[in-house]
Amino acid sequence: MQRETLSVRKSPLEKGARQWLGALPFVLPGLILVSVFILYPMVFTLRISLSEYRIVQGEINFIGLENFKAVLTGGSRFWYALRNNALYALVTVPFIIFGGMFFAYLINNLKRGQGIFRVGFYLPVITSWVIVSLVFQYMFNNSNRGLINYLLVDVLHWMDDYVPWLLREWSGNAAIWLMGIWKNMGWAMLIFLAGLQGIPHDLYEAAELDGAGLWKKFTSITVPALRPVTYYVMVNMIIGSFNVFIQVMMLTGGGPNGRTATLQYLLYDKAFNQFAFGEASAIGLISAVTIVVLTAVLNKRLNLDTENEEASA
Amino acid sequence: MKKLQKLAALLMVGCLLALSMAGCGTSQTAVSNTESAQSAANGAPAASAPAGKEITITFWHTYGDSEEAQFLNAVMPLWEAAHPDIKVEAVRQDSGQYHEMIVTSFGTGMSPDVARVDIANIASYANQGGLVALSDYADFAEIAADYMEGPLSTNLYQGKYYGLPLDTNCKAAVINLQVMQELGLSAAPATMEEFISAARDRGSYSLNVSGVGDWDMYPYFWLFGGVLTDDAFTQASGYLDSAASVAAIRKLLELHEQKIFTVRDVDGSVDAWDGINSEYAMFFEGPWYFGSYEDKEAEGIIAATIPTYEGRSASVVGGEDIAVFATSKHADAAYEFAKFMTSAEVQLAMLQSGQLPILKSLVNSKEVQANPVWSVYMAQMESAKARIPSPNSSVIQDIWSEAITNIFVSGADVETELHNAAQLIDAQLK
Amino acid sequence: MKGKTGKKASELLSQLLLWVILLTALVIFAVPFLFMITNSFEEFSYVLPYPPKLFPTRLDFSAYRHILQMDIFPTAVYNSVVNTCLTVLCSIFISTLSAYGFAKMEFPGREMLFKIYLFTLMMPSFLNIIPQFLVLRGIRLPGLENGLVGTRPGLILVYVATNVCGHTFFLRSFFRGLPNSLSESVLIDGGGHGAIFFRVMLPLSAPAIGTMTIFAFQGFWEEYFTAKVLVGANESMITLPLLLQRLNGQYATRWEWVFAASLLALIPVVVLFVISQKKMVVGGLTQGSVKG
Repeated sequence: MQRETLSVRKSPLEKGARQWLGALPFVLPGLILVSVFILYPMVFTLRISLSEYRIVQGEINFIGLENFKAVLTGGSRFWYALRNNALYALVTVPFIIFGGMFFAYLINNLKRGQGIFRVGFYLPVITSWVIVSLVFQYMFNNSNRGLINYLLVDVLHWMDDYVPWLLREWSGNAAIWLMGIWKNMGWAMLIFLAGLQGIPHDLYEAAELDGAGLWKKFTSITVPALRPVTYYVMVNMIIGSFNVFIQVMMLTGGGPNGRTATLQYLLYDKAFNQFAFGEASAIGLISAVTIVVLTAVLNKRLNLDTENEEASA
Repeated sequence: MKKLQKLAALLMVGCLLALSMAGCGTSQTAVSNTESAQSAANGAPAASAPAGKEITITFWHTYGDSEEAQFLNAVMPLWEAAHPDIKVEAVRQDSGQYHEMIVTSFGTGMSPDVARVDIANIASYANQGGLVALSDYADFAEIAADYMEGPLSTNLYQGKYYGLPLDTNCKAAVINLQVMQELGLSAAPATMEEFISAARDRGSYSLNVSGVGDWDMYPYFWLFGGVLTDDAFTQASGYLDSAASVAAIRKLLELHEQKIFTVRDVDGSVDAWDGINSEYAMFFEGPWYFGSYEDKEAEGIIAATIPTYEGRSASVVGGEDIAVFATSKHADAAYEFAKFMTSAEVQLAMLQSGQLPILKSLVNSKEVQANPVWSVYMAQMESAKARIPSPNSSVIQDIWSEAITNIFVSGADVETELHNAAQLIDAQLK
Repeated sequence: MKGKTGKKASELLSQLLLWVILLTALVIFAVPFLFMITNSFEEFSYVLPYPPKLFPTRLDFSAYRHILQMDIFPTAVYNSVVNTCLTVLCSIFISTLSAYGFAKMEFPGREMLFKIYLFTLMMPSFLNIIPQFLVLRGIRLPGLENGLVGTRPGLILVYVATNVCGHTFFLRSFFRGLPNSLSESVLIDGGGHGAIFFRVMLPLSAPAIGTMTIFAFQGFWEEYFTAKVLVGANESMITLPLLLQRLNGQYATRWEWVFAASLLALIPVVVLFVISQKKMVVGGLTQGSVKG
C-alpha cells in the first residue's frame, strides 16, 4: 500500500517533467526569443508606467499610480482617443469581416480568373501604411485639389461646397476609417479564402443536391464553418483598431484639437513631444487591458472560439 | 496536474522578475555614462585631444542633397586641415523622424557627440539633461558677441545657452507680381494698409496662411500688434490677453470676413505653394521656397520683406542650432567642431547652398547682398522674433492652436479664449 | 437535355454576375493605385497636378530612372531581400515548431503560457524598442563594440521575436483543426512527436504555412521604425523603407519620386504573391487521408 501511494505521488511531477522535456525542442526557441525581446520589454514598460523616467540618465523613480491618475483625469484628450479607437473598431471590423468573407466566397466560386482578384484585393495590404496615407492625404485634400472633392463637386455635382475632409472631426474620422477598411479587407479576404479550403466539398455537394443556391450555401454552410477563422480575423482587427497610428499621424495629426487622435497617437505624442514616458506607458497598458477585456467579452457573447471550447471541455 | 500548472506559472513569473532585475543593470550603465560625460563637460575647456591620439566624434545632421554635398566638399576639408587629430563622422538623418531618433538615442545611449538640432527642441532636450551648457566654456562670451540676437536666443534655457546658432531663416513675403497688378499694385506693397485697401474689393482671397500653429500665425499676430509674453518669457497673462493682442486677433478676423485673408486649415482653401501661381497675391514663407524653384522670377514671383503695419514689420525666426550632447565622451572636441561650424568661413560656404548665416558681421556682406533672395531674408531678420523657448513648447503650441481654432472655426469670443490660453501657458512657463 | 443546358446557362449567368460584382469592387479598390501610378509619371513638381489626375496622360519614366540610379538603391534592395528572406525562413522554422508544441503536445502551464503570448499581441509595442535595443547592445561578442546593434543578425533576431506570438497563434488554430487520427497512426507505427511533425503535420499545413509566409514577407519587407532605430547610422544596412523616407525633403517632397519608389518596392512582394497564391489553392486535403 505504501509503495503504491509513493509512486502515485512521484509520477505527476515526473510526468510533467517528461512532458516538458518532450515539448522543449518545439517550444523553447520561440520561448527564449519571446522572453528576451517581448516579455522583458513589456515588464520594462510596466515598470516605467509606475515611475518617472528620466531618459538621458536612465533613472527610474517609482511613483506608484500617479501616471495612471494623470492620464485618466488630466483632461479630455485621453477620452476622445479612447472613443475614437472604439468607434474605429465598431465601424471597420464588421465591414472588414463581412466584406472579406463575402469577397472570399465569391472568388472561391469563380471558375476562372481567381488569381487576378486575389492579387488585386491584396495589393492594398502589401503597400506600406505610409505610402497609402500619402495617397489618401491627397485624395482627401481639403480644397478642390483633392480627388474626392473634385469628383463630388466639379464632376458629379453632388455637393456644392468642398468638404475640408481632414480638418473636421467627423470627416477626418471617416477618412481614417475608410482607409482602414480599404487596407485590411484584402487581408481578411485572404484568410477567409484559406479557411474556405478547409471546408469539405461533400458538404456543398449535398446542399446542392438539396437544391440550395449560392446564397443559401453561404449562410448555412460557409458562415458557420468559418467560425474559428472569423475569431482569428476579429481578434487581429480589434488589436489593429487599438493600434491605429500611422493614418492618424499622417492624415489628421490627431486634429482638430485631438478629436481624431487615437490611443497610440496620444502615446507617441506624450512620449516624444512631452517626454512623459510614464504616462505614455500607462496609456499602453490601459490599451492592452481594454483589448483583452473586449476580446474576452466578444468571445463569450459570440461564441466563436470553438477550438478553445473543445479544449476546456 | 493543477499543482504542477501552478508551479510552472510561478516559475515563469520568477523568470520574468529576474529578467527585469537584469534591466536594472543596463540602466545603471546609462547612469555611469552620463556621470562621466558631465564631469568632462564641467572641467576646464582644454584644447583638443592629447597630442598624438586621434579621436572620432559623430555629427548628426539633416542636410539635404545639395547642402550635404557642399558640407562634404567645401567645409570638411577646412576642418580636416585645421584639426587633423579630431575625425568627424558625419551621419545624415532624415528630417522626418529626426526628433524621434534623438529622443530614442537618449534612451539607448547612442546619442551623437554633436548634432544639428531644430531650434524648437533645444529647450526640451536641455530640460532632460541631454545637452551640455556651452555658455560654461570660457570663450563663449567672446564668440557669442558676433551671433545675431534672434538665433542666439533660441539656445537659451534657464539662463544658460545649450547650443550655438548654426543657420537661420525666417518668413518673408512671397509675392506674385501679376496677381498684385490685378489688385492695382505695380510692385510689392510696402505697407499692409495699402495691400488691404487694394485687396478689399477683389472678392476672393489674396493672402493665405497654412494653419493655426505658432510658425504660421505668429508673424501675423506680431505684425498686427500682438504680444505673447514678457521679454524673459516667464508669463503670458497680461500680454497674450492684453488689449493689443485682442485687437490683433480681431484684425485678422476682420480680414478673414472681408475675404482678404484665408487660413488653409480652417477654410479648406488651396495650399499656398499651389495657389500662389494663380489666385493668391501673397503669402509668407521661408527661403527654401525659392531654393526649390529655379525660375520663380521668370514667373513673376519674388521675395520681399513683409509689408509694415503701423510702421513696423514682423516675422518669426526659424533655423537650426548645433548642440553638444551630455553623453559625449569628447565634449571638448565636439565644442570645437560646433564653434568651427559657426565661423565666418564655414557660414559663407554653407550660404552657397542656401543656409543663411547667423553672424552679425555677415549681414551686409557682398555675397548676401548680391543675391535677391538672401538679401531680402537677411533684412527681414531684423524684425524677426523667436518663438517661446521652453521645454514645453509643443504643449504651448497646442494651447495656441486650440484657441485660434476655437476663434476662427467655432466663433468663440476672442477675449475669453486668449485669457484662458494665457493662463494655461503661464502654467507651462513655470 | 433541357435540364442540362438550363443548368449550364444558369451557371454561366451566376459566373457573369460574380465577375461584374468583383470587377466593380476591384476598380474601386484600385483607385489609390491608379493615382500613384499616374502621378509617378508626372513632371518634376512639389505639388500634384490640378485638376487631379487619375489616369496617366503621359508616360515618362524619368522618376523611375532616378530611383534606380541612386547610389544606395542596390544596397537597399539587397538588404531588404536578404533580411526579409532570412527572417521569414527563421520565422517559419521557429513558429511552426512552437505552434505544434502548443497545439498537439501536453505540458504543464501550456494554456497559461499561450495566454501570455496572446497578451503580448495586445500590448502596443511602441516603447519596446528601447529595451530591445539595450538587449542587443548587451550581446557583446568579440569584435562588436555595440553588440548586435546595426548588424543583420541583430535585426533578424528582433524581427523574428516580435512575430513568434502572432504566427504561433495563427498556426496553432490550424494545427488544432487537423484531426488527431493522423498523428495516432504515426504513434502506432512507433514514431514520436518529431516524426508526426515532419511527416504528417508539415505537409498538410502547407497552405497555412504558405499564407503565413506571404504575410510575414510583406510585414518584414515594409518595416520601418525598428529598422531605423537598430540600423540607424549604418548606411551599408539601409533597407528600402528607409530609403523611401529619405526622399521626403525637409520642406517639400518630390512626389513623383516617392510614388515611383513605392511602386518599385511593391514589385517583389507582388511577384511573390502571384507565384505562391496558386499553390495556396489546395482544397479538401484532410478528406482523403482520413478515409484511406
